[in-house]
Amino acid sequence: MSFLADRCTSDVRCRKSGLMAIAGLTSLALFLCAGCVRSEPDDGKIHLTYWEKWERFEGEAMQRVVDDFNRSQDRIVVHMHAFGAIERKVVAATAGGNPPDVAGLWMPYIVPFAESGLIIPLGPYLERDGIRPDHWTKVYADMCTYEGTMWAVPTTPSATALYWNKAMFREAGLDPERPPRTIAELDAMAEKLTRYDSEGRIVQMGFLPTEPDWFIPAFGPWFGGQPFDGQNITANAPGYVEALEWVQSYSRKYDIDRIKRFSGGFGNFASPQNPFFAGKIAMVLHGVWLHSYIVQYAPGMDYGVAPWPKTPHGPENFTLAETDILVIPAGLPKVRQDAAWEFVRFVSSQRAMETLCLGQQKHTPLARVSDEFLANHPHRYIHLFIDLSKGPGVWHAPRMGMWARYDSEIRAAVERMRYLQVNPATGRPFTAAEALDIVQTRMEANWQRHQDSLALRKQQEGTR
Amino acid sequence: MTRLDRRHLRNGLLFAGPWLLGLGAFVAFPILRSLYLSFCDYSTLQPPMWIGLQNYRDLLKDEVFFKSLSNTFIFAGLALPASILTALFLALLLNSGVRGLPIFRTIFYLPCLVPAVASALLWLWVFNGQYGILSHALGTVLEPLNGFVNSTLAGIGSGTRVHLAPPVWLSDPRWSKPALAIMSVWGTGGTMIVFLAGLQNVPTELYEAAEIDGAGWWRRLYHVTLPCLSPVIYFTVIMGLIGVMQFFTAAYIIGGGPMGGTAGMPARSTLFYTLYLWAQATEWLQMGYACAMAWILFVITLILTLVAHGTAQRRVTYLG
Repeated sequence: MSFLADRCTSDVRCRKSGLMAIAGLTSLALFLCAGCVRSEPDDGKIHLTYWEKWERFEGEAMQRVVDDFNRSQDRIVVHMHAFGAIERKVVAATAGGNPPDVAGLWMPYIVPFAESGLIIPLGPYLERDGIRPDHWTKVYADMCTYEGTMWAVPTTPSATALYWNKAMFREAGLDPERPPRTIAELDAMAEKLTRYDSEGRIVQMGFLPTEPDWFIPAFGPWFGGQPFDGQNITANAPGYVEALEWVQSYSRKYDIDRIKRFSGGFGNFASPQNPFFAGKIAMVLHGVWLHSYIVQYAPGMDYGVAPWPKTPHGPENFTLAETDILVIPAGLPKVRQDAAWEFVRFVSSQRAMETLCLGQQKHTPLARVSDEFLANHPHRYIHLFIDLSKGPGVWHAPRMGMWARYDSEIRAAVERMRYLQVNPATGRPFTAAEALDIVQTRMEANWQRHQDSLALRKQQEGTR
Repeated sequence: MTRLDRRHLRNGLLFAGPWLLGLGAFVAFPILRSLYLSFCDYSTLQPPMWIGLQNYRDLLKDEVFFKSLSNTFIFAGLALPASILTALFLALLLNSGVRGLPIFRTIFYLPCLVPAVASALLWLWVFNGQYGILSHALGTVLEPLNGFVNSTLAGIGSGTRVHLAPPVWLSDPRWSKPALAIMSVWGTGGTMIVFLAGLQNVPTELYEAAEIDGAGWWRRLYHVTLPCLSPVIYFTVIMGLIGVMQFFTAAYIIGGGPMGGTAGMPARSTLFYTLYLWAQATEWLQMGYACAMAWILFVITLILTLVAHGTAQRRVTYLG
């Protein structure tokens, strides 16, 4: 006020100041509103915003599909934008009332996003256009289905298998063409492939269950367990107990302190210091995508790919499957949703999907695979991944809204076992049953709360 | 109030209006809203549902919540004293009339300008268990030490042998928090500058009087420098305490696996409070639960600040 009083020597000046303040406020209001408005070229076409997570060669492959779609018709133009942490941005944008028209996410987000009303069901569109779930390989269509309808369509899928370094097999006196077929063979070969220096430090390992640690929640099903039976949490079922005991057997056999020192030198996955690329680990469980990284970071590596070794109580030819997906966020005008579906349907066509999957060097989620796709694919084991994804041993994460939390708890239990952490209650390292009982208790409480929350929401929606 | 006064008031309010609006919309409203949401089941995508104290009751039964809290306290106990003592030590060195003061000041301050993510990625390599410079340096010290101890043990006829090896830092749950505390010391240049400014404000006549009374370097430090610097120390302790309770970025990069994240690896040893809060809010869409956690953190920080304030009240000396 004193600032103004010193300078406002006349009514005219004060009026000017007031007008300036009003102008300032108006500018602020316009500035704030600018973010709420979609600006589109006035060319009579519908311009769709498509958010994706892929960058580099994966993004370029999708951009080719987007360009094909834009050329294929003259009503809709899709603009693709790629960035990281996309799921959080989609949540924030949708909660803020300004979602993208199409979003490329991952399979685990389908159920939580469907339960929260963040995405629309695609079932009615599929039905209208006569596209049946058997258009896709069963496991990928199943992953996208929740409460009887598909909420997403698969884009690039993944299946996992055992990669082994043939040169390291030769050096260890093993047959380079004969991968382990059972878990016992895996353990025995891993032992032969493990080497120490003169001071007893590990310099090479045959296999390390936690390198990479991406597939840990699948270990239970690999050993014949299931985390969820459709109604109840079953984390401490025998399959998971057996799996965790197996993980711990490596910490005991090779000494966890030596393993820590050895693994402390590993670099990032996408780098030449990746222990598999650097020849520090001879066998890893990995996805179909690994081939493209081998080409980049370990060119010339002589490697083979085989199914996960059979466990005593697990299925034959086990594989963990996942998929990238396309979803249409809720809250858009019907005309935009329809246009978004046009694009999603185009991507799901065989030609577009094979262009995308070839570009990303993955297999296709579609049930039909063209000879051209197989002939042109750079991954020489692509047949194996297709067969595994269609086989009886395929497993995918359960369709439950709190799977991300459950996943983190299973990982925590594996870490307890792996580091031989002491159970304060017994004074001895955690047993698998003890570690899994913690998961069971925590997840039962979380599951109950999740169910209560859904029931309460339904009840509130009913009274509205 | 005259007509002119009323105009002044109106214009003043109009000028202050945008700021007040911003404060209300972007600060006051979210704070109060988060308090309301802490009593709700809220996923950000649907309207919040009032559930009373359920979030707070669940938090009291949540073992991971207490694990994240204890990780944060342990880290705070390591990082805060280490950072402040290092900053004070460097400031005292620089204040001792060293030549090339601006160069040293710049060198020590430089790490503060490195983005947090870049510095975390850099420290990943420093702490690398096999190739890390820190393990290598410790190894060169420990190797002769092992030799000396073992030869001494052999000399006295003992069959015992020792093999001290550098820690594997980020691959070992016992060493991951100390590693992050060491890393936090690297960015202490900002605090050092504050201390240096405080030291340059200590009246020289106090040092002269102390010297005349026969006080040596240590007594001058203890009886003149530290009391005069006590308001600055008090300020940095409070700010450091608030900062360390919200430690996030480096832990997200270093303990989050190859893509960063809230895993708190290894074995949840770096799962700090804010990481768990972030996971609840953004990964598991439990925004109500996360809001309850945020308010508990606020209360804890407030209590710690009040304790620090009460303890410091009797020891802080304000000159003039």
